[in-house]
Amino acid sequence: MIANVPSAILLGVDGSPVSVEVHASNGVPGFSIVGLPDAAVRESRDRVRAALLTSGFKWSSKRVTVNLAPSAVRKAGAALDLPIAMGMLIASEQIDPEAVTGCAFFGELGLDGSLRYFPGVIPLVDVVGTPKVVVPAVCLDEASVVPAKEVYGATSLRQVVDALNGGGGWVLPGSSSTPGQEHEDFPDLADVRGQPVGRRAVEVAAAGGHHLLLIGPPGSGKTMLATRLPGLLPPLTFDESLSVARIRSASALSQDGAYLPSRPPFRAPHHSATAVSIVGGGSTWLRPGEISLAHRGVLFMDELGEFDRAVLDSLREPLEEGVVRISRVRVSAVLPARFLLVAATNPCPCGEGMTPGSCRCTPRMRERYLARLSGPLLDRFDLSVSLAKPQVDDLLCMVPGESTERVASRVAAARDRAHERGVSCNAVIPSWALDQLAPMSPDALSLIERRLRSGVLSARGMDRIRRVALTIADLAQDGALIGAEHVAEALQLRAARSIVRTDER
Amino acid sequence: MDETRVAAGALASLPGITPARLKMLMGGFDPEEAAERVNGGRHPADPQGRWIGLCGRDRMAVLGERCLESAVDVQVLGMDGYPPSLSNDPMAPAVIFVGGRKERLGDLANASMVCTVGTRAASPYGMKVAYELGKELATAGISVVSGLADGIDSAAHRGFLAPFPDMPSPATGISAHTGHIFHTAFPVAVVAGGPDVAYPRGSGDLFDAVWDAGVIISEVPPGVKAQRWRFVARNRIMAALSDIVIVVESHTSGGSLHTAGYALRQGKPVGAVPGPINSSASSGCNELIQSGKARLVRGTADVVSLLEADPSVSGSRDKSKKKKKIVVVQSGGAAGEASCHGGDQDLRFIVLGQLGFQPLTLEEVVVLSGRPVGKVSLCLELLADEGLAREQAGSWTRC
Ligand SMILES: [Zn+2]
Repeated sequence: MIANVPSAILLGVDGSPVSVEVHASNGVPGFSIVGLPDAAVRESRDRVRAALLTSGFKWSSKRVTVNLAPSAVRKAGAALDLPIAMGMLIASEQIDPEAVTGCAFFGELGLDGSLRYFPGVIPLVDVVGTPKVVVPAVCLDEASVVPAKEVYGATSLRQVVDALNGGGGWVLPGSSSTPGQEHEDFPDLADVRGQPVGRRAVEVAAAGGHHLLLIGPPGSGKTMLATRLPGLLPPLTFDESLSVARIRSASALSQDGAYLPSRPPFRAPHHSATAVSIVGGGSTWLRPGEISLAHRGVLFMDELGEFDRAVLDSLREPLEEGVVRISRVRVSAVLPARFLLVAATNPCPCGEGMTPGSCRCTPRMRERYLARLSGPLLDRFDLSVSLAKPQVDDLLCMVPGESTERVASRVAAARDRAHERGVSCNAVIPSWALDQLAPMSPDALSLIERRLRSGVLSARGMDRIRRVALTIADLAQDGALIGAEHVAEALQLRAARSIVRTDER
Repeated sequence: MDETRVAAGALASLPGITPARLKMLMGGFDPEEAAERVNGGRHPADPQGRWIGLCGRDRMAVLGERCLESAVDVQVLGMDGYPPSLSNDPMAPAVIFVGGRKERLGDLANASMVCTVGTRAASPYGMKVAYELGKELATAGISVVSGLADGIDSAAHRGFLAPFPDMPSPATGISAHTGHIFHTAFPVAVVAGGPDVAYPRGSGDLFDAVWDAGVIISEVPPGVKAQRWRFVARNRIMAALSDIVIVVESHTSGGSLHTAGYALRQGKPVGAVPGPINSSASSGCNELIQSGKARLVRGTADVVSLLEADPSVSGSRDKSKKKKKIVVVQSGGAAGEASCHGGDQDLRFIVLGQLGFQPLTLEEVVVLSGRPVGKVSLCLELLADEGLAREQAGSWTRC
């Protein structure tokens, strides 16, 4: 008797369908799993055996072969326990094959037959071809966010079999915890006192999707500005929300009840974090890193120069392509990582490099410090502004700034104009399309020409300036042409990069 | 507003009127009679009858209406409500138009008033000093009189308003003389245009803030734009309203030196903030100090001690004179004030004035000028093209 149970495994943040084929034949009793199982899958045998026995089923006395097809893909994780157990029950004729038709199974088994949580429920459920899916009850609400699937939950193997036989009920969605929208409160931009340039940079970054570098001494409000950026971004669409949910699910992060986020994520890894935790990877399963968790949202890297060199180098690919490729011995995966990067750095080791007369660093110290910020990485920042430490009086006294709500409405209007051009945001307009999508007034053109000629602007820098200028014009809801004022502001909002890099801008 | 004030306002609105002619028209007659005579060509001070028919009931109705609309009051020299400090000046204007928190006009007599003046083409140093001085005076409960011009004037009032974003009535105190609670510190602006006309262009936010928190005084009726020759009288009125005058930064010739001169003639102490000996923006101040006309001012403490040394103030204890007055003067050249045309020209002037040899970040230029980032950016880029400004590592200096 051959059983064939549909399931799936996780590759990065995507599911990959797997057929669990169980064949029971006469011969020397035995059990083998083929089809590139990893250690956790090979150990399934012991968990499945114990679970079957403690749940009141028989362990087959036949020769059992479990084949995980397609066999070329390496299978990892323990979520195949339940499909293997179901295959065993069918192959040993302890359950009617008809009862499981059109049904896919996921779940790790405990020795007592209980069903346990596993990472990646959302992408796994999404990828299987069957209309019905059975998952552990603890994964049920998470699995329920996948559209167009009938999802059933159970706490144990016994409950699965009883329910399939019509002898018992399933755990129903929503009965354990409430799935749905989270209510995240982002800090308000109105809390930022003064700092007109910093506020403006954050607004332009949000409106055009431009990566932002904040340069300033400790206490100059870099973190305060960065944390206000997600609140300015438009809410996630359903598709975006689902893609964020898939990544969170795959990294086992979404166990807090908020499975379909409405707001863009904000991730702020510490500079001491490992390359694997930031970029993704890992030995047990290919876990998405912080850069993927920031997908469709904001990645904030404070003290950019303090991050591991490998981390900084690995940022280039996601910044360019919106994905990160991770290769392990037998698996490789492409993980989404399209985030808005906000980075912050001190101008020098002591942090006071921008106030003349206050810096205590020698030129050599400065050089060593800034050398960590590679030119190619700095090139990715469309915006770089310097911030000064506000005086205590200013913090207490200044008039409250514009609120997040007001700025966000300008950002949304600017993004609408980008959508009309057929791009998600201005930062992703390809260079060849700039002439058509970002036409400039004669004044603007001549200003750019003068800057190119004087050498303060490179050809590539020019394209970045044009995108930012377009965003600034969009924010102002100005006419079809980019004006000199927009170009000038774009130039100024990028000028601070020469604090950390002196060759060109 | 009563008929008398409307009539006075109508006289002050006559075409071609000057402070001296107005005084002649109003001398010897009450305002209603003066207006009637002028209108009928029967005024001895207008033998040619140049204003016949220009001061009738219809004109008065229009003016009354306009004052009502713009929430501007008319105060007449010699009548109740006219600031006593101003009437002490032999050249006090016969009629003033008042906007903002007009009820504060009465507090002028109780408050310590410091006139801060200085050049429009101020250096970053001057801007910072003016801003800080304004802020500290506000906190100390001392009112600041200034002219709302670009440069030092605006910086002083911006600084003054900074500590009190949500409180239009900054500080309160109890009058030692009457026992009444009064607002000790509020901004006073004397402007050369109508009291409802924001000038210079682009300074609307500051104008509005001063309007909300303090008093705006002018010799010119509402709706009328600033005329260049009015700045001289404006400088004199500022001095008259104040206890002392502080020149924060001034070139060797400039409106702020006029204000200081008026104060000296009125027997009021003058202070000046010293500056680098090679900075032309401080040359006027340095000269005031060197010549002994002004006391050297290093900060708010010096301003306060100057206030306390004010003979009119110390005398006040025995003569039950109610107020201390301090005037901080901004230096502002007539040349600067004349460039009231073209918003970009204005900003260019302001930004150029801020840039010095100490590098300023974009943020500092934006804060000091109070204009949007885009406008300031364009201005800086154009100044760079002209070879007047230079950017290095994100900071700007003058070439
Ligand atoms: Zn340093």
